Amino acid sequence: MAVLRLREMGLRPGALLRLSARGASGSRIVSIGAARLAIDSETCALIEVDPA
Amino acid sequence: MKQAVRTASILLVGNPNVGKSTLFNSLTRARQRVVNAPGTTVALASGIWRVNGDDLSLVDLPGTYSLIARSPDEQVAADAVNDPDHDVAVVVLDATALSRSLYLLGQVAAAGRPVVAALTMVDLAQARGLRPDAAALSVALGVPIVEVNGRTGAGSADLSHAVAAALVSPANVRGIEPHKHSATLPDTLACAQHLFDWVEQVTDAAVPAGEPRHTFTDRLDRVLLNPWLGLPAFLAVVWAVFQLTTVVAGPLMDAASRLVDGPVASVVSSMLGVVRAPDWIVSFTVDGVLAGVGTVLSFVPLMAIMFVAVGALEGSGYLARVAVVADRAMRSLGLDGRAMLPLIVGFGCNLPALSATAVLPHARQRLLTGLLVPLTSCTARLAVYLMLAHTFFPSHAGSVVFAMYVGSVALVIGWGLVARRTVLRDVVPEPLIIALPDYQLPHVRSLTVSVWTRVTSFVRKAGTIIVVVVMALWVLQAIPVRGGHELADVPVEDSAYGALAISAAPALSPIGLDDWKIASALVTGIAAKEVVIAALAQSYAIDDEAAGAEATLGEQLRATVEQTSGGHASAAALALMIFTLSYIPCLATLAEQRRLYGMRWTALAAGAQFVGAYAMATAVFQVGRLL
Repeated sequence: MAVLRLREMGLRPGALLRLSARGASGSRIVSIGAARLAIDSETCALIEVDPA
Repeated sequence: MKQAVRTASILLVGNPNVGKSTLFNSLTRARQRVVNAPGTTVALASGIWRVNGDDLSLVDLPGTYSLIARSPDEQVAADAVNDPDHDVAVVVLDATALSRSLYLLGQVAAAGRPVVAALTMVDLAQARGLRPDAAALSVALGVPIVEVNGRTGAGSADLSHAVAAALVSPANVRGIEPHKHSATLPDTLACAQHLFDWVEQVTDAAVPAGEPRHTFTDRLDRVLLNPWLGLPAFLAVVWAVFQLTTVVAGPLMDAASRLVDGPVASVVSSMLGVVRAPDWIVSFTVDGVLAGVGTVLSFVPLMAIMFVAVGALEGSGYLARVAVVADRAMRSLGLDGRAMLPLIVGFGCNLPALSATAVLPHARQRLLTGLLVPLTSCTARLAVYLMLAHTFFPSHAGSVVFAMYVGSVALVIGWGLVARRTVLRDVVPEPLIIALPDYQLPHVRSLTVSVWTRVTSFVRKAGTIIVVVVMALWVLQAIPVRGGHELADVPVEDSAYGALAISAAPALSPIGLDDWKIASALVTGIAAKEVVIAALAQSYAIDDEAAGAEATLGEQLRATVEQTSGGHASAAALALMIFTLSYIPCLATLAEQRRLYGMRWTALAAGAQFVGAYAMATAVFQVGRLL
């Protein structure tokens, strides 16, 4: 379900994202277009990224 | 075709933090009220929206990212959208997160609701250099798109026209076939995938490609979300809220109760004097009815301040950051990081802490947090600890009081873990995936409207109960049961209230406190913990205005406890402090819990708390007297 929620929030296969900051306890702040998401470290581990 | 006989029903649907409530407040102004969604404790704002001379009903649904609901709040939104009784859904699209907003719009259209889209946050998207093309979007979607700004009211008239037109001839969203909602997981995933593809096509047509520009929000987040600075910054914010509910609210609360006790009470009693009302009627009106009204009124500034603080934190965009910063600390209780705020506020006063649970997006989390709030030791209880600690542990008073606070935190964690393993098993830690809105100044007019709506709801629903119980306490204290006193002129011991305390006192003997005066003070403490000491003084018939009253009270209480505890006064005093910490929430907290969560949860939590407090106090006394 976490994967579906990520996709619903805009983190879909092929999406272009930018790592904008690191938050507390290994969480990450990512930008997709004009939107920003905070994601905890466990959920980040589910996401595969390639440098664009 | 709809006839004009029934009020058309319009839903306001959107992601969290897209300015939906600001838009709602701007469209309905003060013509709104808080209602519970059918069969739930999820509160909704429902209002009247005047469109082209007709009154329409407008419902502000809980913000959600998806109609595949993960919480009761999201379920309320999903159920409403799937209900054909609603005529049109106004879907609020966030221009800074169009892809996420369009996914929800696609789901609403697939559910068969006619759609009108309101585009918000256009200025913020423009600041990031990614302003969507509203005209291209409207063409791609095949439904009207109205740019709105709930803060300035811009676009409201256009939105009314679009909704009026949609009521007459509903438009379908291009590329979405309305279909029955399917409950099976593969179907759900296939539908979601189909919508994702559709969203990509639409956004490609309407959103410019390119890198977002860095804005003020990015710079501020560097500090507020920083692994080292984020927590101190959050604690500073909590400290400020704490100060607001204590230092700022205190004088206002005093002023409100002084107004009722002083001028209002004297006007009322002189008016009653003119009509030669009997003394007991004057006493009932002033010490019963007006005292209750005064209690409710004194809470109004406190609640209003808390609602303003919560609204401002939410409207500014900071609250989403709190979820990130305090995520780890609260996750062990299955709660969102934002639950930290109400739990800390509870140490000032439990009542505004219940208001602060509004920061949590999920109903079950609000329930769990709201049931844990009474375990946070409020300042009213501090007054009781201080008096008992100075009386019984004069050389270690500070340490003993500190231990009470440690105990309070332990109780919150302990009861939280118990609740999660028993009655609230569905509260499970969720992965943290949260959208961070741009920082904005809170919108004052919109904030004022929602604070007004919430405070009036408190006064109407919780206030009534408080007044009734304070009146009932007066009646018990006014009825003489022996000694041949006049009605409403009875020493506590000879009143019905005293008789109740005398019969309840033996229940305190396992704690070493079998004394009617202590029992009576504890019963009074249910009304408000602030009055426990005053009630003791009243029972000992000590004039609390007299010099050295507290020392006298301490000596007398010490003598009583020495006797009831069989010489183990310290153990009994410690047990009394622990009992006071959690035996029952105060009346205002109970009334507000009942308003928010219903009678069943309120009674269950209070009952569990009482049994727990009784068991702990008994254990402390029984073990303590052996030492």
